[in-house]
Amino acid sequence: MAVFLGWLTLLAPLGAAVALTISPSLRNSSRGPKVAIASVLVSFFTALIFLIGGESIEYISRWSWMDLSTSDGDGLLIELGILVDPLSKMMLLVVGGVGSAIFIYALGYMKGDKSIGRFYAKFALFVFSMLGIVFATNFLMIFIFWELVGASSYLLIGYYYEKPSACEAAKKAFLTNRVADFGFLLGILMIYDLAGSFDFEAIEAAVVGNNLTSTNPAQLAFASFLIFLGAAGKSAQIPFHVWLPDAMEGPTPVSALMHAATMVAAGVYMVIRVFFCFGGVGSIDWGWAPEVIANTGAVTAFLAATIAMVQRDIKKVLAYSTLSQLGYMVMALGVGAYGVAMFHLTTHAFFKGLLFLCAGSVIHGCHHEQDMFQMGGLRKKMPTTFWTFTVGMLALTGIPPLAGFFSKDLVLDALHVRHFGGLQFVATVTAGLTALYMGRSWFLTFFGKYRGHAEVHESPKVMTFPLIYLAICSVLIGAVGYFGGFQEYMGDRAGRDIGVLHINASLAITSVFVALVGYGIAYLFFVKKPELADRAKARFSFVHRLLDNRYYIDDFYLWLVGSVQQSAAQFCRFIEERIVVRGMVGGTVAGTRFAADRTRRLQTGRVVFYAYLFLAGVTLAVCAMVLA
Amino acid sequence: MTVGHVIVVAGILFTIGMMGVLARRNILVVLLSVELMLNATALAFCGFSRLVGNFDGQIMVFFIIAVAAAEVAVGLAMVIALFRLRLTVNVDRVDLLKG
Repeated sequence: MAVFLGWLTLLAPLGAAVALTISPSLRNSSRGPKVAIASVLVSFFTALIFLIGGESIEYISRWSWMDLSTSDGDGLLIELGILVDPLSKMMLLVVGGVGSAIFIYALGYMKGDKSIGRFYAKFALFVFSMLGIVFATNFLMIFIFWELVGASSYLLIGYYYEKPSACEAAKKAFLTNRVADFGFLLGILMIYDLAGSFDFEAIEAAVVGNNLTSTNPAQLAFASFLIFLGAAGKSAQIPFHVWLPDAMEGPTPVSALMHAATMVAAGVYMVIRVFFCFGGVGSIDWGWAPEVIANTGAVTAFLAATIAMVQRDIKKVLAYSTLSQLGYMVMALGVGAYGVAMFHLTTHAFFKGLLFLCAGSVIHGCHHEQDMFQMGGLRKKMPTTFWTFTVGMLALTGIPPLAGFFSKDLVLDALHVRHFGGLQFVATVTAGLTALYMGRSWFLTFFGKYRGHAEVHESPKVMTFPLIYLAICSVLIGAVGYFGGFQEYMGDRAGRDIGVLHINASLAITSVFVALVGYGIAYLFFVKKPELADRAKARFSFVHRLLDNRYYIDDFYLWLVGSVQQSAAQFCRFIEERIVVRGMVGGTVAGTRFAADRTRRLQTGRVVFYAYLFLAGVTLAVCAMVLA
Repeated sequence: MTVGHVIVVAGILFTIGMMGVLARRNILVVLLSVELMLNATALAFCGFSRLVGNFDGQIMVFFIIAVAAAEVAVGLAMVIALFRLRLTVNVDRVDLLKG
């Protein structure tokens, strides 16, 4: 029964996507979106059933898809499967719980869109891809669904395909992910070479039993680094972060789903799933990979938070905020705090989903205005959105007792326990920056005078209901998770795993204080004395330009592709056209023609000439025989 | 009369035939010269048969005569066909296969 439920959960969104795609009558009817919503609700209820079922519902169901192995067990066996354990149950709750809210919300947000059926088809496909990653039992399956997430994100970011910027953003996301996925694929092959299997259970057993074909730390570190590259692509860590802010070109529910429950969470989830490749179990030394991961997270968290401070687009602020929070999770992964990373992922999914939906509600209310400097004073006009946004913001900035407080402080505590002083400092400063940029967008959007021109209205019930639901979750889930034993539930692993952590009072007080300072600065700059902000901008124009241009990383990539790659391509083209085609192929043609022109003269067509040649040949043959 | 004499005569006959093939332009004469070369070979077979002391060589001569008869039949038929087509029997003017 539970096995059937697992497969049903995985396949229901696929069924909805297929039905909506192949049946025009369903796609164009009002029943279409409801089918998609129902297919996602299945995963929400399954998650609840699985969680209530506890240990009695933990299983691995395998289905052999392509069996290329010989009878003695060698060769490749490609399996699809359903893996149900505490980790996948929790992730299923995130996908189902946040996903369902976003699906219902989109009903209001996308109302009136002429191709809402197409939207829901792609949306369901996206959830199906994500569920495949959640349930994956082996590296091949996770890679297949990994690529499916990439493909469906391409479809969704480019949903407004008549907008050139959306098409560009979709391509950018897909290509950036492909680059990272290439590293992931190489990593999978390296792990296969080391452990002789794609199956998570088998690899873990090989790692625990010290049965790897090599224990050279440099090689192992390289393998796990390559695996991490895949995670860095999906979770948008530096240097693969460039696609994520551009992905805001998609409809707001897409941004919410992508940033909260799926896609960006996939990278972190995958690393936790294959924690055994990062020293999570056993006594094998995995070299330098964990340090690189922790530092990547710290750099991403800090840089993204600073960029978020100068964004004008309300969604872009949240996008960079997501990057920054993912940086926290990756830092936790780097120091071996898997339970904590998963905890932060879960809480973040709820409050970031909430914030995105609030932003969508604001955008909807302001008639698709996204510039925060064209908003202001919306507190009175959109009370529900205002209060839920406030809850989401406080949760994000780690104000107790909301969700973010617990998970973020546990990340800080993990860094503290593992003596990563520098990273801990960066993470604390980033917490202050988080409060600063969130406070800035809060004040700009909801306080002061309205600066826009459109007629503002509160969003319909179908949109505010998910906001309230997510706001309640954002308030409760941190405390429930922390006191309810979330970390114990994730399991205590051996190896580098840090075990169960507790809130450290001095760290907590420091980070809350830093966050309040951030809010204070935001209040000073954007409410009390707005001219201060302009003065600071003029005074530190260099810094502002640097941030406004996102540290020139996008420009660097543009230069890299436009100049370096282009010249390399030109060079290859020169080699191909001049040397290979004109030189080698053309040379063969000319040489053959020349030789043929000379030798065809031998072909006189006169019998006598042939007779002479025949005689000469016979003479030569006889001479050769005599001499031999 | 030794085998040597026979071989010398066969060699002379063969050379005459060969010169006929190479030097003459009339296709009928060329065919005649080919016959001469075949008969020279037959004569050489007879001589060697006598030298070795069995009849293998002489049996070979029968084959040569049979093949030569068939060859003349085919060859003359082709000459007639060629003459009907080109109205000439000069081998130098039949050179359509030149490169």
